[in-house]
Amino acid sequence: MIGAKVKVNGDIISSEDLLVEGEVSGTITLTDNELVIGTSGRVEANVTAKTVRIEGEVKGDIDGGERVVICASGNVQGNVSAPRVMLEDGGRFKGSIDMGSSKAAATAKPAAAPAATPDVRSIDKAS
Amino acid sequence: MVGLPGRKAGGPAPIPPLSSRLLPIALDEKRLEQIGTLNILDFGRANSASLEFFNQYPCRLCVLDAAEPLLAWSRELGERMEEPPSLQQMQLELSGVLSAIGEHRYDLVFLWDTLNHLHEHALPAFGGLLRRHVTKHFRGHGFMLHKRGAEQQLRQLGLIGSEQIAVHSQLATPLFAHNRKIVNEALGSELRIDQGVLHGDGRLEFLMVSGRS
Repeated sequence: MIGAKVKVNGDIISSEDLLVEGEVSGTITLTDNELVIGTSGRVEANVTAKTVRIEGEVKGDIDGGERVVICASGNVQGNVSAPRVMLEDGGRFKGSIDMGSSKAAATAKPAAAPAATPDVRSIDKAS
Repeated sequence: MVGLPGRKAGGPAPIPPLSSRLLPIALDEKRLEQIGTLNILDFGRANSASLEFFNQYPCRLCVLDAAEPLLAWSRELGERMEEPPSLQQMQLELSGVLSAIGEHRYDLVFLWDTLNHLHEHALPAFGGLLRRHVTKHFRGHGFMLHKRGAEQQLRQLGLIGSEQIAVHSQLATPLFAHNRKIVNEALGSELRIDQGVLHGDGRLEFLMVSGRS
């Protein structure tokens, strides 16, 4: 764990799961393990891990071998690549997501509320 | 991509979704299948339902979350109208505000209410920027204030189906209303509003296409 009062400048390579509650600038690589950016975690780094869970802030690209989860308190600016990317309502994301291999990740869709009665006044086709 | 259940308790009552007649045209399955891997540009805010919807397509999705930055930039631009910046300068500034757009060309563009987040003077610059980032056969979908007195709101919208749009939030906010003629002129010859549907709330839902298609 990187505690809330710890700042790291540089590259982190780990073969254990890691919880970041402090600040990290550089890169984080946990190829076969889970990375959690905790609610107080502030990461400005490119991140590679088997699974990535973001409850704090990340600026940088995220490569998740299995999945990336942006939690309700999470804020991500960067590009995400993973077979499964999940976003909790309230989580903020700005950037690109490569969904090329995520078809299998589609699960039950939320039930849609009944649509408002269509109140269409006109339709036109521009010439 | 899948969504997770979020925090619902204690929040405001959900706003009923909007029905759309033009989304099915933008999302025409045969057309999208021909494209293969889609490049999708979303000017709105990421939300689980939209992401789940896009998951049915092999795609690369770029989320700009542009509403508030564009409104702030347009308001600041309005204060500079005594010596308005050049088209080139505005395109440069817009490129900065929308830097996440990258160097890609997009097949599908969800503009939502973006045209009303832009100062009238910035519309040609926006049109010029958008033209550089769309494919020949792209489809753009959005809304614009059409009738006088239409309620001006900062809305966060998202897809929940090929005919339904979720209104995740809406907040009364002064926007930049433009008439359709001004928008058409600003878009130039390479982009055009192909179809429009006037809704009961005074907004025009529109389908934008390339003038070259």
